[in-house]
Amino acid sequence: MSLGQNFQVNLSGVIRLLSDHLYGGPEVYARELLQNGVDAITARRLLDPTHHGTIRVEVVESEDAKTILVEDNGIGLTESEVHQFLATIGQSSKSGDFSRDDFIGQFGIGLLSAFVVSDEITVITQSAREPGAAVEWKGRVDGTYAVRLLDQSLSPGTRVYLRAKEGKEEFFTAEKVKGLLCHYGHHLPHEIQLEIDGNVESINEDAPWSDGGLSRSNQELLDYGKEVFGIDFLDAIPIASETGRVSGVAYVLPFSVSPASRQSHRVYLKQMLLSESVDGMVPDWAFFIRCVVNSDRLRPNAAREAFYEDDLLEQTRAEIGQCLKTYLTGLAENHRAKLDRIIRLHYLPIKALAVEDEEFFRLFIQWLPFETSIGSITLDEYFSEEHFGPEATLRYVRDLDQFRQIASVAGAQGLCVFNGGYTYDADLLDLVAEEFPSRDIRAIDATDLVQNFEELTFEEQQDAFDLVKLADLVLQKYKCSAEARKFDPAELPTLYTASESATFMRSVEQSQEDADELWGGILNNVASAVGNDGYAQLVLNYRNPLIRRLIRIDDEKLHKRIIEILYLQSLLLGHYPLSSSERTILGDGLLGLIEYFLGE
Amino acid sequence: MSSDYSELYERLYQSDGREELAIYEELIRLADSNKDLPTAYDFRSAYCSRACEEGFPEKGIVAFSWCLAQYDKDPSLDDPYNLIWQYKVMLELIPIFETVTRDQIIKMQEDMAKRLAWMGETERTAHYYRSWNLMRMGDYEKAAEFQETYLGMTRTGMSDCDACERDRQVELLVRMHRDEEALQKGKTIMEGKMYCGEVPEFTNGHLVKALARLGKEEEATKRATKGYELIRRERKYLGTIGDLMLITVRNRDFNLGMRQVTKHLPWVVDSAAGELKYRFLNAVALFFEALSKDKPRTTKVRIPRELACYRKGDSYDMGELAAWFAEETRRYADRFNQRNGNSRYDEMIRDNREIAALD
Repeated sequence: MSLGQNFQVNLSGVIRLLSDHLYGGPEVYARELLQNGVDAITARRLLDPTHHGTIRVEVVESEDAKTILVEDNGIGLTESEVHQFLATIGQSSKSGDFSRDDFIGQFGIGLLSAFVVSDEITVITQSAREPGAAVEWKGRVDGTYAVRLLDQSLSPGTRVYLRAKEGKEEFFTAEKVKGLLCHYGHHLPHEIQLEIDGNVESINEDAPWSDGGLSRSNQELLDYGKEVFGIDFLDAIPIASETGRVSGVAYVLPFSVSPASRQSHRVYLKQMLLSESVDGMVPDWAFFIRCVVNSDRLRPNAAREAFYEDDLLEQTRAEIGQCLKTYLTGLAENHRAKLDRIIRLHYLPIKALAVEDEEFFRLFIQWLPFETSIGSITLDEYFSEEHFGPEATLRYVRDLDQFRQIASVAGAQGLCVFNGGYTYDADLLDLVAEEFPSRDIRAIDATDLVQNFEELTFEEQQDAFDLVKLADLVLQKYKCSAEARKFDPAELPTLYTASESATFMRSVEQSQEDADELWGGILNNVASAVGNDGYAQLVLNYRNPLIRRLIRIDDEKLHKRIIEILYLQSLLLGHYPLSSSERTILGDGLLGLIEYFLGE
Repeated sequence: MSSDYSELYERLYQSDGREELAIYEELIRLADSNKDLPTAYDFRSAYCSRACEEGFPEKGIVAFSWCLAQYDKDPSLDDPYNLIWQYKVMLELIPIFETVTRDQIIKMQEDMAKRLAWMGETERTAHYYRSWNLMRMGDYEKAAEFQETYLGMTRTGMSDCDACERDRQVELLVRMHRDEEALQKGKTIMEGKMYCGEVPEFTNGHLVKALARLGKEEEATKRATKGYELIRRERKYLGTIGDLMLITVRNRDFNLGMRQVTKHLPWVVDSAAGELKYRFLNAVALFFEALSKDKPRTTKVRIPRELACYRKGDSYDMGELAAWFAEETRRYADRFNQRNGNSRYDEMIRDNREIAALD
């Protein structure tokens, strides 16, 4: 079998593919041409470090055609290089003699992007390495090209001429071209000139990281952030990473964001804009940060809109994370007011970091706010003399649902229960217990709370005996036990509490109502793996006048009805959906009561 | 959508982990109370996926069962493809509960096979799960036969991704001690060329065993370290964390081991999935055993109060602790062996001792 045949490549198809899927849009032609120019200058400066690089862009608009010339005074190409690099897709001139790290481009597909806006590209180039005649290369979108030697030699460098293809004229207007050059190239280290109607202007601007951000005041950095992101940030932090050769500015967002929100950072590669929405430049916990950074080392992907997820990027991220940590630590020591403001807004990411980082945890834990049954409180406040004192027991529930069940009642008793149901909070409280073993910190269940309610005296127990016994019996079929205690607020007649597993069992029973035999059995067996640590509890409040009156009534039938209705009411108050048997009480119980009163 | 929903939605967006699940539970309660069946279905369906992702498969299974029953009554509630995708996840999770019987697993697998056939699917996916369940229940030879069958069939829209399928092949080879072949099969995963949301996360747990058995110490350590970094915050990988900890024990890295035990032991308390607990508890038992041999003295360890071995004061004799965890591991092994009708879980305990370099 002969393997001497080559694939035929349909260039216009490839270009359509690139423009639709690889590149963000036709605008990237400007980025790719600038990049080629910068790389050519870099190559020439490796031969002659004193060489002053310039890229000149000229826009020529006439009635019948719109043309752009992009000219650089870089290394240029010889005739054989033109054949080798301009006519072979995927062949990059930057993969040979020089280290790839020196260049922005490396895939050999940059010039192709010009076909997205132009049907024909003309390149005239003069090599700085080999004197001789200049070379002209004309390539067409149909995949054909021609090369010829010109009669004369020119100054070294490359000129690329593009003529707008039908429908793409908008990318060739003076305004658009200027916008694109500024967008991608305003921080480039070489001079970028734009010539329109004979007027030449420079588009270069100093980058905020040009000297490690040292010469810019904090306000100037914030102004720059406002210009770039349109946001009045809380603070600006100069950041750097030696590994990724990264420098730039991190900004603290002035509003809270979700941990799941996408981090969009503006990232430059060797001072050319790579993308305005690069993800993954900072550690996951730093989702309250937006950055503008330049890297001279990280590796971009072929679409040039993100970096490769490799060890280099991971290490860089860790170093940027260290900068942010140092900043927060510095605030803790010198700018508490600013830190408090940041904590109020961004306690979530700060808690996320505290869970992961011991040193950070020790530094910040006392200032982080926790939700409790008596409002938001920090550990510093909780253990202070004016609150509960350094010897106080800290109780927390691990589950949001449990907290919801007990918060108002615990609050009314002046009992402070921490909500460990929020992201990171239970982890942090566990760590507090580990870090400060002398402190009594314990996770409790909603049912444990009842143990803190005031017990009935002997006489009171005798008084409530019959009612509690009956309630216990009536509620047995709902897997709920009854008990009488004294608690505030006195207006609340009953409190329904269920442990996490009892709540889970309710959901199992609810699913079983509609399940077939197979799934009914599976649910039973899955539920047995969870285990049930007991019944739910209905606590009757002996301080409540209604309960006291109920004790005095001597009518068992009425008692049963009322107990069921009180049970239902406490379920509804807790937003528990009713099972079918509970729904029956709602109907029968209410009707029964109506009948009873009408009968009276 | 009522304002109650909107407020909860806002909180949902800000949350993750247990908090997110609690908000979903509240949304479900609200939809149930409003008798809003389509919304209750959508919330449960989303909750099911999130609960499984967050490492609470029992909650996911309960929600799925409800969805399935409602769907069977009113198929307009969901796209059948969505439902079957969730069914696939359930089928993957169900064998890790030792309380679910072999008969129930087979019936569930065949129920899904019928639904797939009804949708015009080939038997490939059904065979895939037959192989999966047989592997988890210790019948490796038959699992390999089904694997060969489905690999010979054309993939369909219901097939798992390439990376997941490759992971299953690697796992079966490692379970069968065909370590060289496992490494060969897992090469593209190890090189990072084949990956998905759960690969190499799961695969690392299998590969470290093969690497250790072949004496590739450095590679095993490197893979265990990197693998642990990837999954240390995710409860659903509790079993894999146990697998990776075998290398910690093998290396007698007591500092790392103690950190791993302290961080993940609380997960055992509220985990219902016996197989994940078994794998982790086994690694903990081996860790304490190795520690007791190296440092035979009382040591402070943070053991959750809920575990019966908890002692006030936090000081423990390492040998006693090792024995307690070994006994717990055995308890799970016995239940799985009884369910599966073989003694594979005893074999795994022996294998793990060898990997942890304990005789």
